[in-house]
Amino acid sequence: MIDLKHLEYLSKLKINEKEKQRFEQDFEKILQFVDEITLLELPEEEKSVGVTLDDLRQDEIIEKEKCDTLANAPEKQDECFVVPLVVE
Amino acid sequence: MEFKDLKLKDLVQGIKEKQFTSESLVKYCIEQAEKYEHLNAIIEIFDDVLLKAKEIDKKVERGEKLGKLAGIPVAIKDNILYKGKRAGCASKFMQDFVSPYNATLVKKLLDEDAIIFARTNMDEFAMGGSCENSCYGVCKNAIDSDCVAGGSSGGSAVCVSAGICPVAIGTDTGGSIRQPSSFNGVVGIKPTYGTVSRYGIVAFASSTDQASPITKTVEDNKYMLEIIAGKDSLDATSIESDFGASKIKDKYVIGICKQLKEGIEKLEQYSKFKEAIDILEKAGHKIVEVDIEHIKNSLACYYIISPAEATSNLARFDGVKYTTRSKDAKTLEELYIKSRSEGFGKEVQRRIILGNYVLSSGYFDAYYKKAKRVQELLKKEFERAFEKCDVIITPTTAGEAFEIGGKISDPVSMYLEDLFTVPASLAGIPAISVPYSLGKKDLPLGLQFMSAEKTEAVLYDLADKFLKLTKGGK
Repeated sequence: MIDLKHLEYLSKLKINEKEKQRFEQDFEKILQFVDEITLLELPEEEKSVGVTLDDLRQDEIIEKEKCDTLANAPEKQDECFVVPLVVE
Repeated sequence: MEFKDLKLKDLVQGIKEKQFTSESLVKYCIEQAEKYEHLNAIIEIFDDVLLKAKEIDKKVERGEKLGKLAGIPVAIKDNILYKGKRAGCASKFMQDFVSPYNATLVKKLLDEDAIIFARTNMDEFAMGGSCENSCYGVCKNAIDSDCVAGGSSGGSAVCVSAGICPVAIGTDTGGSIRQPSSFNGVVGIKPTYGTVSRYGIVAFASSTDQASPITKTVEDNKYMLEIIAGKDSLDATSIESDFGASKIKDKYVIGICKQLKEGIEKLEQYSKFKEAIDILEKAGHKIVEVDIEHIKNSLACYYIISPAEATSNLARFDGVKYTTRSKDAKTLEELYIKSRSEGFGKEVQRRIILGNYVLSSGYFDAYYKKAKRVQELLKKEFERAFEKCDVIITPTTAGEAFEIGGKISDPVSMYLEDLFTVPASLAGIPAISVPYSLGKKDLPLGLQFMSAEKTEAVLYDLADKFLKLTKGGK
């Protein structure tokens, strides 16, 4: 069985109570489906790929079109995002 | 004015030579969109399209230099940013989002005087293979509206297939352009990873995300890809490519993957697939068998890697910066959790949780790390296979478009939709889907060609040759 509570915590999500049972059933099925990877015996190799970045740009300030970072904020005030009180 | 075929090059020529105006073409597309409104392919036609069309027409009148897409309406998927317009990934979480800047590909389209026509329906955050996971409702298949459009770029494929818009841009992470293209009888390519800049496209799985065109013809597709491709300083993974034009040949060596053979032979469409192979062989292309050992693990591999990346990419949607916010949260933690739980749809939540599962302590090595190894092996196996052949051929999908509601309650059966498309995504190689036949329900079936990195020209050439031999799969 999966520890859904822990996964919800990591995901910053709360699965709807009514759908929880169904969610867990589906999730188990998905895990069974991807589990074949864990059973594979693979030849060892040192280097790991993924996306390779061999052509990095210089770390310098470039002129970019100005963009209003706050334009889509659900709540804002004086150039800041508003969030609930964090420090008393 | 009648624009029946909407062939891109004819349209470009027609506007340039003043046979018709961009305004009349855009008006026609709006009429078509109204006619096919029931398919739900379009979320919104942008409010300034006629104005922009008139501007282009004035440019034509004044004899000014015109771009390669002067006056041509182009639809874009709802996860691509167009400055000042909404882009929402078909998610209610992002339905108020207004793009603060242009995606690089949009800028390139605008630089060529295209009219960005509309934003198209999709599976929420590009997660899905049917275009049923949309906060705007299901997008229906252009040929049979009881069936799904395919996904996640369903709206873009339907737009082109129904003749609403001559071209549309989609994105493909594990098959999201090729599968709906197959289901709607149009041409869709997933180019080599990095060919089109990802800047300004809402990220799903960054290591396989690619944007590209969906069109009616191979020729149009090539024309469009050449316009939107290119190295971009704003996307470090973008590449420069000549699409391997020097690799074009008269006759190709076409590979059939040994590990997929049995599965393909069991498909309902097998006789059609066999026919296609025979046609290619008769035309002088050589058919060989190639080994790609780990191709059979690619689907499981993809459903570990892509949720892992998605979970990181979607962490930015928190109810603070640019999404809707839950109204009754008292603490910051609560604000995150409530906003995300109310905002994200079911499938997206499932993938975030799955991603966190495979990345979490105790599971990381067994799932994520191992999947990355499989991906690496797969990539090498493809490279070796392409020493023996120029192109590898498969069906694009296991079958025709399925009925709406048919798979939505069974996530694994939906994931199996990506069986043939995922390998090219994981390997970063180009793959094209072209319509080649009709299935039992008389719905289109797509044929997929894959080739080595940066050899899209080979795919276009062979696809074109094939369609000429089969008269467009009709």
